[in-house]
Amino acid sequence: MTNDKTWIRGLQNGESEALRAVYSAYKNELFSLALVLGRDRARAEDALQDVFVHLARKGRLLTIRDNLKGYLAMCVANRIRFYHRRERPGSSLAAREQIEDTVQPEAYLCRQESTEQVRNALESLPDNQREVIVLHLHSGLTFKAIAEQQDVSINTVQSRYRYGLVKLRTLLNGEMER
Amino acid sequence: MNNMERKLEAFFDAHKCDTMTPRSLDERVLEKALDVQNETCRVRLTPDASFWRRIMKQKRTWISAGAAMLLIGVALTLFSQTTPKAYALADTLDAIKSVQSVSFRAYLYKQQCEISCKMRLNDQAAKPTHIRLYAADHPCSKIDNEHGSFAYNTETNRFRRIRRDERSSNWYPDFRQLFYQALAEADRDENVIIDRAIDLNTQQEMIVIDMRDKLRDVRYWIDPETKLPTRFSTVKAHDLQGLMRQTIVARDIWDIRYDESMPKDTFAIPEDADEVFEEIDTMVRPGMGLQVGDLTESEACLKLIQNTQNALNALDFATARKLCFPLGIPPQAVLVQLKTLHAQTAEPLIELLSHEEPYKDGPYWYVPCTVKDIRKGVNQDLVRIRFFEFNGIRSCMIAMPD
Repeated sequence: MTNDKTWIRGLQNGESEALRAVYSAYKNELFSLALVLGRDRARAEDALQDVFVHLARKGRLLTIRDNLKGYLAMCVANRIRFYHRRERPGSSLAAREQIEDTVQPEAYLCRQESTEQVRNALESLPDNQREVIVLHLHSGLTFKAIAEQQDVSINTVQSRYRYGLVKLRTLLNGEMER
Repeated sequence: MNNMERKLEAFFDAHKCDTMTPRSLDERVLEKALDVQNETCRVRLTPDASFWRRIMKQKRTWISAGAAMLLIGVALTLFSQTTPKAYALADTLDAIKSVQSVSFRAYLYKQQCEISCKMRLNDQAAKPTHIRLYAADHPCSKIDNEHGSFAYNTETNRFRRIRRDERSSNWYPDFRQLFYQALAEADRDENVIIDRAIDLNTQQEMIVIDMRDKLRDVRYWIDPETKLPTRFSTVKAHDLQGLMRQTIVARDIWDIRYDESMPKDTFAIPEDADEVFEEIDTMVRPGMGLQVGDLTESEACLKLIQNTQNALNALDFATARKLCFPLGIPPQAVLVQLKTLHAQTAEPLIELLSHEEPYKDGPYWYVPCTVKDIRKGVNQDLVRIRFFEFNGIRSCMIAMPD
């Protein structure tokens, strides 16, 4: 968080080193988030680029004071949501194959079965429920922060989270509960 | 945190550890972002040029649509006056600065409804200090005043404090900033045409400004005497679906009035109003919901679900809307589709099968259900129900999350 404040000041002053440092610190986590939400490697790459271009363009208009990671995570989620609205649902199989290219092969083989189940279950959730679950559990954002960024009430966010978990539990047939 | 949440978190942690951005992507992103950063630093030395795009891309709320359009109109008035005579700029700026209040009506694309809005502006007319937004078909209105932001139902005299305050939204530029942005935009935008035309409503000659973007052609009507906008309209929609998808887009804004006297209580919550804390409690009105009577809460929940299902299957949306808060009357095209489906099959349009006992959690009751929708297939869902009381009559209503 201390770094965040320094980096934010640097970004507001248009310092390239600050932009490089932020990218280096958060790129993998944001890319992972984009892959989970976007379900498509090309889309995830576009989202990552769009978000950092947006950050660079904001410059001194950047109004956040801290928690840069949370802000960037919300930006990624917003971009992915924008892509989903713009594009028709594509081939999820092709998209999934593309996602696996970015994951280390050994790790993939070890976790293939459970990973596949969870990913399928997450994909079948409505976008708004998946987004809340992923932002909360993947990026560690609080419900309050998500509510503020999505401009909905905290009750709505909690409901989406609760509904999402109920559906996941049903879809996974109790596998995860064992 | 339950077991499911812990396992999901472990799944995400593993995904994060296994995911690395390829070097080619790093180079591409950094190159592009650093270019933009350099360009932005240079542009910041001159006025910001992207006011139109910024407003159109921002997240908008009810008020933002109308107000943004209004402000754009005001800004365009400014630059339209600069083209022939420089002195008109100061005249218009003075005119804007002297505006103390404004009201207008608007028709929104996605919501397919009319709204009206009243605003009181600060002493430089830079930002609104007070806002009241009325829906045409519901007694609930939105109020921003010196005490905060509220939803207020005039029929039930209930209000709720709400977090969203448009007055401090970052999309909302002050007039002077907008003025400079508009000038920069005018320098670059070749799709802006400024002309004069007779307004058929008033038979007055007006300044008209035509602009084109990807979605539509729009026209602003400017009063040549006051230099203030009087009307905004969509001339032609190039992408109707695109307009309908966006959260807020005003198709037309009209009846724009400046500095008319407003009653003192326009922006006030009455002292005797009851405060409530859930959105549905502000929206409900007497006569809505299912009367509980002698039923237990569990029985009422199940009966409410049954009645809602029956109303939907009978295509009785007026009744369904009384039982289920977020359910509006579907657009005509959807209604036709539903009636056709209904005529073609003996299957009910929707079945809500409760498979567990209703339970209470916080301010709501929940009923786990299997939802069989003829259009969407089978889903597991939690139906959320709120109990409320008017004049001693206890009722309940479905309050699905949006």
